[in-house]
Amino acid sequence: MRAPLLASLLLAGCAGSPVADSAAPAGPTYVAVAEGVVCNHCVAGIDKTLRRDPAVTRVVIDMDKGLVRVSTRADRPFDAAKLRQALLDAGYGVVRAGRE
Amino acid sequence: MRLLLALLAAPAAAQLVPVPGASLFHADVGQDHGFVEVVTSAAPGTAVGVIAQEFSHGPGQPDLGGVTVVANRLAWRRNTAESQANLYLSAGLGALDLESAGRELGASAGFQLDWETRRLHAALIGHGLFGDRIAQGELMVHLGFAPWVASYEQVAPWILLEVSRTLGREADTEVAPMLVLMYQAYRLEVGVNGEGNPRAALRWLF
Repeated sequence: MRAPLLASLLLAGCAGSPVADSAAPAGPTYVAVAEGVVCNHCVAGIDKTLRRDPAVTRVVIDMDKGLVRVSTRADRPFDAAKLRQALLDAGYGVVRAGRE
Repeated sequence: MRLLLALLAAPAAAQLVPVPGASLFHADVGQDHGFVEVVTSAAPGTAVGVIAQEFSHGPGQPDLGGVTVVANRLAWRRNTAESQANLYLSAGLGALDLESAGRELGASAGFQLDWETRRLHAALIGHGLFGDRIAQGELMVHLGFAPWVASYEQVAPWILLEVSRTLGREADTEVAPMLVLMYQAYRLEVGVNGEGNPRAALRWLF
């Protein structure tokens, strides 16, 4: 009785991540210094939340320095304020955020 | 009674996924239990999900199972460059399938206060379960240590000690050592429970 439910939840947990459109024209890169990025799930979570934005093509996070670097595409709007707000919504502190 | 508590304890013991766009898959298996949990972000600071699990007391003892709906809320967080501290609150509602006594509705409430750096982890976790025939709680302390700092692309080992104390008429204390291996978005835990039985858990943020 419980086996189908367990199997369904297992399958639900195997959903894939969206793939960025690498053919899009490259836009600016933005960098933020974040606080509280101390674990792998912090990195994975920030990556997930930033990649929801269609302008974001790449996210690189350096745990040692708390650096969050975001590559964007030119044909979609993005700015440092969006990067800051995304990090705040994810629960992290933001020391500064700006265009690289 | 202890296993009944465990049925609704998982929300408070898991990373609670307050990050928008993220979900958590969590499976935990052992000789006498198994459960699968999927929790997803509903709004900044809030996650909801479902847990399905069952427990066995062993030969001649009734099995326990249940499906619960859970909601977790990040109530407070303090970030620094080197650390993160959190207070999570959780609540759940579920149907408990008691093999020998039928099904009943149960509600849970819990909290998790934790502090973590890249080398140290400490958490105080409390939860209670309330139903027609039960009203009891449990407190747990987690102490973790990483021998070295590893990057996101490397395997990060942690030694974790869990001390749990049941509150109520069957009060007892249990100590469980665990080895935790983290790699990218995966977290694998292996170890033994207080009775020496093996246990393994996998958490995947996706």
